[in-house]
Amino acid sequence: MLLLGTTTQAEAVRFHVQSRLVGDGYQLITADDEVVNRRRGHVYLGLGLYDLMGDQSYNLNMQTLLRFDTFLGISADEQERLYSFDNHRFALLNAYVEGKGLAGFLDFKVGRFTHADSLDYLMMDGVKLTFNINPAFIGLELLAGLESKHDGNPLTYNQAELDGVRFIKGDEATRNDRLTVAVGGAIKLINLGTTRLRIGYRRLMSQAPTTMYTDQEKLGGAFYQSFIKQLDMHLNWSYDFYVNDLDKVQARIGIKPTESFDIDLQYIRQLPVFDTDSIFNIFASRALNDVNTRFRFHLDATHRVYLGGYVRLFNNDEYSDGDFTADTMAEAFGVSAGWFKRFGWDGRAGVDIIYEGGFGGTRVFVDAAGTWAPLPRQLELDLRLTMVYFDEDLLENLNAVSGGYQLGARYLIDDMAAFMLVAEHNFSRLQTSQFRLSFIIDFNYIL
Amino acid sequence: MAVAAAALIGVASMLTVHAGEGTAPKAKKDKYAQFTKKGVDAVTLAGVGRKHHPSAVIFPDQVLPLRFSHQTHLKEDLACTDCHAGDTMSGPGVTKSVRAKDNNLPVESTCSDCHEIGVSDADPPGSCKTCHDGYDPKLPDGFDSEKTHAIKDRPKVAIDFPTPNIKMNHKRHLELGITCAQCHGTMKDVDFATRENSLPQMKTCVGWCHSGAEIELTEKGKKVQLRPPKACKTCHITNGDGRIKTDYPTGQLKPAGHVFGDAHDENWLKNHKTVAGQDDEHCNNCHKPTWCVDCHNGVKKPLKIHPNNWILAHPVSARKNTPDCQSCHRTQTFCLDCHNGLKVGGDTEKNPLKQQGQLKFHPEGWADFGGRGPNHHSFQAKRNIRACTSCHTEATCLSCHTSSGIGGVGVSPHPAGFKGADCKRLLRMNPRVCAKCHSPGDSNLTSCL
Repeated sequence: MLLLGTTTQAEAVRFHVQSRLVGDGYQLITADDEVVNRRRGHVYLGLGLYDLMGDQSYNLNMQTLLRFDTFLGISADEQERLYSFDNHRFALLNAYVEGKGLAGFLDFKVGRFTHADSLDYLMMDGVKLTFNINPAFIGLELLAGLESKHDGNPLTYNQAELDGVRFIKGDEATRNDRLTVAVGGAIKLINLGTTRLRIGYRRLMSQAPTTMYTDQEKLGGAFYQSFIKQLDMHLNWSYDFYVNDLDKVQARIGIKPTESFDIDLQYIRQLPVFDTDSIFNIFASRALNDVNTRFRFHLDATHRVYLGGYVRLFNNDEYSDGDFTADTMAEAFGVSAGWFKRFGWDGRAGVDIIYEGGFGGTRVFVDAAGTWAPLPRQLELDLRLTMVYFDEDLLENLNAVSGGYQLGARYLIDDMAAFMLVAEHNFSRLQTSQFRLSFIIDFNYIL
Repeated sequence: MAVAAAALIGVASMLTVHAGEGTAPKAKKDKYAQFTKKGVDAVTLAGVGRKHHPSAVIFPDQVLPLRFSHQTHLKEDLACTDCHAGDTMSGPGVTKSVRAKDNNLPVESTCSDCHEIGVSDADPPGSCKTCHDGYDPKLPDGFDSEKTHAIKDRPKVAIDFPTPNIKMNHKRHLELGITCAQCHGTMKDVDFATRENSLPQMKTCVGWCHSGAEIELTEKGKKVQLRPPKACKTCHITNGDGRIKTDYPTGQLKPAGHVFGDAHDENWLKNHKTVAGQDDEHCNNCHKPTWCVDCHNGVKKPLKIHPNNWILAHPVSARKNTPDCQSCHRTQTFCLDCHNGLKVGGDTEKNPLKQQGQLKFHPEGWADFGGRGPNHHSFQAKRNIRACTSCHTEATCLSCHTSSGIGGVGVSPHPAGFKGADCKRLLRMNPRVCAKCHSPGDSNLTSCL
């Protein structure tokens, strides 16, 4: 009977197998005006165990995700050109056990996972605990562990690693393999319907001979309020203690005066902040400020147009000598417009037009795309035509008109398996022919 | 916009349907158009604008070739359960129904309690076309109104009332004293009930009860305090991994913005950060962790962000930082690889990016000592240092900004007034970085202590 009971419970556990092959081949131009062909392959393997308690609550689960990256068919000559690239890379992206709603109030994750909040991404090996205290409408979140660092672990690839320091092959002094401890916490309002509030703190510290030095220390939060059906507001912010300033602010208001018209208004502030081990922080003391908006008109449920625009202000220190007085601000700006229409079940089309100018250079972008499904829900075909003119404002030769087309197809083998293919061909003064071919074979099976 | 942009996103992107919208199989649409108000057509015909009607993915298109007026029947003081519950139902009826697949519509015998079927001058009217729009069969001699299925001339279009893609327990809701009108709205002004005018939207559920808050309900005549579950899986069907099932034959289910402004429309790409920043676990209700990692720590090239020929044309966008490169890339671990590997700034004869008449990548006056001009790198570094760090490591800066005591030129990058609180804070938090430019005995360093 015991054996029978055990067997029944085990059968309730769901197994998830995910496999994905990504192939990507494209051409790059070198400083010697020669073409380098890159052919990269990436293999993902994900394994999951769900509903470990076997009661269909899915309160206890386990997930792993591995990725292997390599170059395919590369010659010794091309290898020499690409000397700084990691040729082969094997990474453990996720490996954690999670619990949800345990005892009615506890969520947890333990293992390697990526945490995202208004402060930043954090890929870590550690634990995240969340206590949901329902009667008080409060949730408490605690984080503790080690930052997942590429230099410190050959099985780690982390794009969210603190920026600003770089290990240079052959220069061991630049190796950043010190253990970095990450601790953090957040308090958040829960179950309040149209209101959300979160305030969080995070500190990353690394080893030193006698103490721990701070690599990052931030306080930040997020706020959401839906005032009425037609108006909602988001605010995300982050304060960095090292630079002693707000390094990120994103404030957004969505207004829907009518069912056929809505407005998105946004303010963004960004101050580059690096690992405190990096001297780049010394040079990055000026934030950029950006206001942008988008007006959308819903002509009907399947037919939309939009108009948008932004102004972005870059700042620098005052400077004046007898011959030259520097502007303390440089402006970039852009306007955009687009049209989208869906044609029933099996087709859609859209056009985007963007003009950008000011600081950084000029860019004109025209893009038209259409999708047709000869076999709805099974096979879709894409066509995309793009023209872009760009003229970088510092380098007098970095300008061109580039035209290109893209052909794509997606085939759903069954509900959990798909094949995708994109071919792209571009033309420009700087590259008379540039070809790209990408494909994905994706399997997701839950057993 | 174009789904070409989503081509590399994965299985879940096989079809893209705007939040709150749904679509119908084409063949059905034409055949039944004269009888039904449904899906996209109904919204389109209703006039200009995007009407947030109940999702056609959750409630698949119905084929209801019938005429019926709730308004007229409710004026007769009929209760909802007079027709939608009882022993004559095709399903268990709303008072016993515990599953969404239960058909709780009345059958003909329910109607025949009042309507004398086949009698055209009856009151209330009883002719077939009273309810079956356009259906006026020749009745056989001696027609028995209790045996309408004996009529050989059947209606040309059959009723199709597909199972909703949602969980619903009518019995439990009614036991807790929730009225029909709280979810379905008052039907006193409604003639023919359709998905668009009578079925609830998600905001009805999460707004009234399923918000996670404790509310007062009535059970067996007594007031009770209950906390209706707010987990998505309370109502939504889940996959084998416990996440919300989003792919249906009727389309792809996407949030319409009823919860925390999370509408997955064409603004979502630039706005999703504000929602994910509040609580990334909210995203995990539908998405596997790989979904975020695919772009933010991944190898895919989302074509909506990086369109055709991005590698060639990206410098202008990178200088402006639109979109924010840091969202997915770190300059020292991503940009540097390519820029150095391809020697983008290489001072070679053939480099197509070099300045006219010289071999230098940067413009004249870029690193002048003494007086600065408009091209001086210090202004560019302040405006967007990430453009610098996409090619340079700290070693480049250190070659000039390091104090002369340890081999540099001693050009101080510190602003006026740096000595003081700023200096002390940086030294206290991480003195390692100070040591990159200052020798231990450097007077500039010791004066800060």
